[in-house]
Amino acid sequence: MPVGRAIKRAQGAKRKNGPRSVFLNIPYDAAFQNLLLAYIAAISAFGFTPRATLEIPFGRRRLDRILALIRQSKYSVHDLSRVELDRKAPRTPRFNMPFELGLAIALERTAHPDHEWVVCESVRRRIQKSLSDLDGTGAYIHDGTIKGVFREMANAFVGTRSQPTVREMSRIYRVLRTQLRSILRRAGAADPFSARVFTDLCVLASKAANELAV
Amino acid sequence: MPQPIRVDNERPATVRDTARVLGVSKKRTDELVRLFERTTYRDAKTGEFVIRAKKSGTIAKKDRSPNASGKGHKASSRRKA
Repeated sequence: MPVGRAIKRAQGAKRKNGPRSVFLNIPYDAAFQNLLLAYIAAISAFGFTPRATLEIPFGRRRLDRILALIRQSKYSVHDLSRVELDRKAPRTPRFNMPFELGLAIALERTAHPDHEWVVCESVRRRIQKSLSDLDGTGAYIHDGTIKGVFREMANAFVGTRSQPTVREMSRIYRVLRTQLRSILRRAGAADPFSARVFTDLCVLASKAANELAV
Repeated sequence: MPQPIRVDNERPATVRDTARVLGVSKKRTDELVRLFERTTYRDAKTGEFVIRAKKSGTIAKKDRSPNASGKGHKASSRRKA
């Protein structure tokens, strides 16, 4: 389906979740596991629900559903730190993250002008080379660390009601980290990059945020 | 440094809101709430939730294999290396 038609279809999707969802666009690989937990903890600390394409099964209508997910989210966070070639043959870079950033910008410029997005990177000034079309748009540099993600999320978002601290985000992260093994075992999964584990982690993070932050 | 975004978090998502949005069942949500409660306890003096300290050096009974051959040995040898 052409992207233009898919965007129009996404226009029709109801924003059921209103301003409380954040579309999370990150690499899905084992090396990124702890940063996934860090992003979930940070987004939950602000009182938002993380959304990700992990929720969407592969299939013909995947692009439509990705657009609908972005449309349903008031904000989106795009982590473009994984730009290297992977190890598996044929060695390729990951195009999903910049592609989804492009979709979010297209929606923001057309059908969904109140959508706001931020870009994260782990290496300073690299994005000026890897995605020079974004020249003039600053990226938040998290240095590839958990604390860096907390710091940059606290820099990127200013809450109208409350501003969670890095310490509060760390406490939520500790709860997720402590229970990750149990959640993985129950889902029969080896890593958190599956719909079941992702949604379980988000619900647990929400409970932790209600009690430990916000 | 990019300009921060002013975000509306007047009404933070509750655990039920999050579960509904993500399609997690009520039963599973209750289980996850219990997992949280197992990870924390409420401090009697302050009334705040405190995260339990992680026990180290012990293998939980449920993590052992049924024939009592502890998988934990592998982990301890890795620590020495």
